Amino acid sequence: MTAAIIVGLLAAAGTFLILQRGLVRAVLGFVLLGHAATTLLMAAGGVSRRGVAIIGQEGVAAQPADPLPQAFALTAIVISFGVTAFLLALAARGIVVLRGGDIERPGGHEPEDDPA
Amino acid sequence: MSGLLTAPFWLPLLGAVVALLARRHYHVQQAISLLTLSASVAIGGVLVAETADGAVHATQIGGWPVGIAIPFVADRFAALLITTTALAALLAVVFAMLRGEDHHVQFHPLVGVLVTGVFASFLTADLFNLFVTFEVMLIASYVLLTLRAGRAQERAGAIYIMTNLLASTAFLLGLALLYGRVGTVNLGELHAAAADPGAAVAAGVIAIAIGVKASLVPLHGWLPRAYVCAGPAVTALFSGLLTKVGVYALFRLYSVVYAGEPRWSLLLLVVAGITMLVGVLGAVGKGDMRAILAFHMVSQVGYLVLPLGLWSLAGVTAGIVYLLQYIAVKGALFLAAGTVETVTGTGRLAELGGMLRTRPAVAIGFLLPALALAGVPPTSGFVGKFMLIRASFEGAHYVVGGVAVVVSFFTLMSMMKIWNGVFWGEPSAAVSAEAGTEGDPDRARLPRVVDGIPQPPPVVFTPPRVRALALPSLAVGVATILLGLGAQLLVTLAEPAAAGLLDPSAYLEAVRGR
Amino acid sequence: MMPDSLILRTGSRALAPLMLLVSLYLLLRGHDAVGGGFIGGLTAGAVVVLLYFSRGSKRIVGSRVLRFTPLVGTGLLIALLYGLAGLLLDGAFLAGGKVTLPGGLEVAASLVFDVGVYLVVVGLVVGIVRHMGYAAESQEVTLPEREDA
Repeated sequence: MTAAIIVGLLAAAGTFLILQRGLVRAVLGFVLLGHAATTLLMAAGGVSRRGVAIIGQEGVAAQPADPLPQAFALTAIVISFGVTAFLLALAARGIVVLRGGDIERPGGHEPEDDPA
Repeated sequence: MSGLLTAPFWLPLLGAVVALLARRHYHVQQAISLLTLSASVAIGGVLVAETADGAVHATQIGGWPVGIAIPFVADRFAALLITTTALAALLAVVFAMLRGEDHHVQFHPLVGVLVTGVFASFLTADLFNLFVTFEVMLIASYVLLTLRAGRAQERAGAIYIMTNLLASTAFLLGLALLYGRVGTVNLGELHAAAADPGAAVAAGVIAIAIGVKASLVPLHGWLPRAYVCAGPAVTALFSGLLTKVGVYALFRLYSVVYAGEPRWSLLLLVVAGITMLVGVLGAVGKGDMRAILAFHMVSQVGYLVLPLGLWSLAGVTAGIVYLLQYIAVKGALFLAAGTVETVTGTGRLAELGGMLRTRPAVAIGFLLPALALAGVPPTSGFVGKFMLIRASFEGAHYVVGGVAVVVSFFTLMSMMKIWNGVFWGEPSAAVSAEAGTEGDPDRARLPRVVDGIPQPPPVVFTPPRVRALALPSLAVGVATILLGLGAQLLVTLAEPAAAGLLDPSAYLEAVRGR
Repeated sequence: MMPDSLILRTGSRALAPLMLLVSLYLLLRGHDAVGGGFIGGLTAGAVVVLLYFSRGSKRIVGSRVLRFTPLVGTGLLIALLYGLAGLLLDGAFLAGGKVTLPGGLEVAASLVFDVGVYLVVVGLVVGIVRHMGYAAESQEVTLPEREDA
C-alpha cells in the first residue's frame, strides 16, 4: 500500500514538473518519474520479502528477496542517470549561466575548444 | 552458433570502442565502421540462410539457466531485419563519409553504438533487455541528433529526448506492472499472457511506449520536428533503423504476449488507418523536402502496422515484404534529399527546380524510390502495397483497404509535388549555382576541436565526389525495380517469417529449449 | 560560484584518499554483497567532483588520467573483452564463474567486468565535470588565480 502511494505521489509530482516552463524543471520532473518507475519495479518484487537472496546464508529460509527486480531497478537507475546527464549538458550548452540563473534565455555560448 | 547469434551485438560495439580509442586516426574510424557494417550484413545473411523452413536458433547469454538468462533468438523475421537494416546503415554511413558529415571524433563510435542497440533489439527475447537495447539505441541517437550546433538542433533535440524519455519511463512502468502480475519478463514464458486482463493492461502500456518509438498516431509528433534538424546522413540513418525497431517490437509483442488475439484487431486497424491519413495530410502544407518526407514516414508506419490488424498469413507476409523494401526506400529518399541539399545548399521547394537538367543521376535516384514509396508498378513498393491491400480486402476489412488506396494516391501526389518543385522545369538559381559544393557546409556546424583533436581537413567537392553522392540512392532505386520484377524472391523469404509470427511455437520452443 | 575555501581544500586532502578506498571496497565486494561496479564508480566520481570543487576546473582539465575518452573507452574494452573471453572459453557470451586465485582466494570472474563498469562510470563523471564545469566557469566573473591550481 505504501509503495503504491509513493509511486503515485512521485508520478504526480514528476508529471507536474515536466509541464513547467524551463528545461531544468522538466529534467527534475523526469528524475522524479524515473524514481516512480524504480519504486514500482521494487514493489513488483514484493516489498514484504526482505531475506537475503543467496543460497546457504542465514535468513534465506524466511522469504528471500527477489533479485531480478533489484537488477532491473539498478539498470534503470544507470540508464536514467546517463540520459539526465546528457539532457542537462544540452541545457548547459545553450544557455548563459547567470548567478541565480534564468534557464530559459538562450545564449550564444559555443565553446571553441570542447574538452569533452 | 552462440557466437554468431551474439555477434550482431558485440561486433559493432567492439568497433565503436576501438573507433573511440582510435580517435586521432580519422581513416581508421572510417575503415572500422565500413568493416563492421559489412560484416553485420554478412552475418545477417548467414542467419537468413540458417532460419530456412522456420528453424529458430537461440542462445542463453552467460550460459545461465533457461528462464533466468537473457535469450538471444534469431528467427527468419529477425534475420531479415538485421540484414536489411545493416545495409541501410552502410549506405547512410557511406553517404556521411562522402559528404563530410562524419568529421566529428565521435560520429563513428556513435553509429556503432546505435547499430549495436538496433541489432540487439531484433535478437533479444527478454522484454527488459529489449528496454535496455532500446535505450542504447536511443542514447546514441540523442547525441547524433545534436552533434551539429544550432538553436534549432537543440530545441529539436530537447523535444526528441524528452518524448523518448517519457516513453522509456512508461516502458519501465509497464515492465514493472507485467513482472508484478506475471512474474517473468522472458518472452518464452509470456505466451498468451495477455489473456489475463492485468497483464494485458501492462503489456498495453509497454505497447504504447513502443508506439511512441514507432511513431504511431497520436504519438507521432516528435518525428517531423526532430528529423528535419539532424544532418542529412543522420536522418537517413534514423529513418532506416529507429522506427523499424519499434515496428518489430510491436509485431513480437502482439505475436507472443497477445498471441494474436482477435479482439484487438479493430483497434489496431483503426490506429493503422488514422496513422496513414494523418501522416499524408500533414505533408500537404510543407515546402521543404525533408519535412514532406518526414510526414510520409509517419504515414508509412500505418502501412507497416496494418498487418497486426489483419493477422492472416497473406497479410503478415505482405507486411514483411513491404517493411523490408521500405527500409531501403526511405533511406534512399532521405539520401536523395540530402544530395540535393548538399549540392544546392537548400531543401526548400520554392528555391529549387530543374535539377533533372543539371544532375539527372540525382533526379533518377529520387524518382525511383519515390515511385516505390507511392506504390507505382513495377517497383517493389507496388508489390508490397498490392499484397497488403489485397490481404485487407480478402479479410473483409474494406474500410482500411480503401484508406490504404486513397493514401497511396495522396503519397503519389506528394512525390509529384517534390518532383515538380525540385527536378522538373527550368533550373532555378540555386540549382545552377550549386553553391553547396563551394565549401564544406557542415564544417561550420561541427566543433573545430573535440577532445583536443582538430577536425579532419575539409571535404573538397570534386566532380567525381558530387557524382558519387547520388550513387547510394540510385543503387536502391534500381534495386526496387529489380525486386519489383523479381518479387517472388521477397515473398519466398518473407513467408517463413510470417508463419513464425502467426504461430510462435517454434520461437517459444527455441527460447525455452536450450 | 566556487568559494576559495580553505576548509574544503584541507578536508579534501584527507577525504579524497579515503573515498577512493571506499569505492574500491565497494567494487571488490560487489558480487556477493551490496556494492558493485556502478556504485564503486559513482563513489570514485564523487572524489572527482570533490577535487573540482576544492581545486577548480584547472585541476581536472589539466589532468592526464582524468579524461573522458580514455577512461570510457578502456572500461568498455575491458568489459567487451571479458564477454568475448567467456565466448571463447566457455561457449557463451559473458559467461562467468568463480576463479581461484593463487593464494586460495575465490573471486568471481565477473570482477573483470565490474572493473570495466567502474572505469566507464568514472569516465562519465569526469566528462560531466569537464563539460559542465567548463561551461559554468567560462561565463563567470574571472576568479582570482590560485597558486596550487
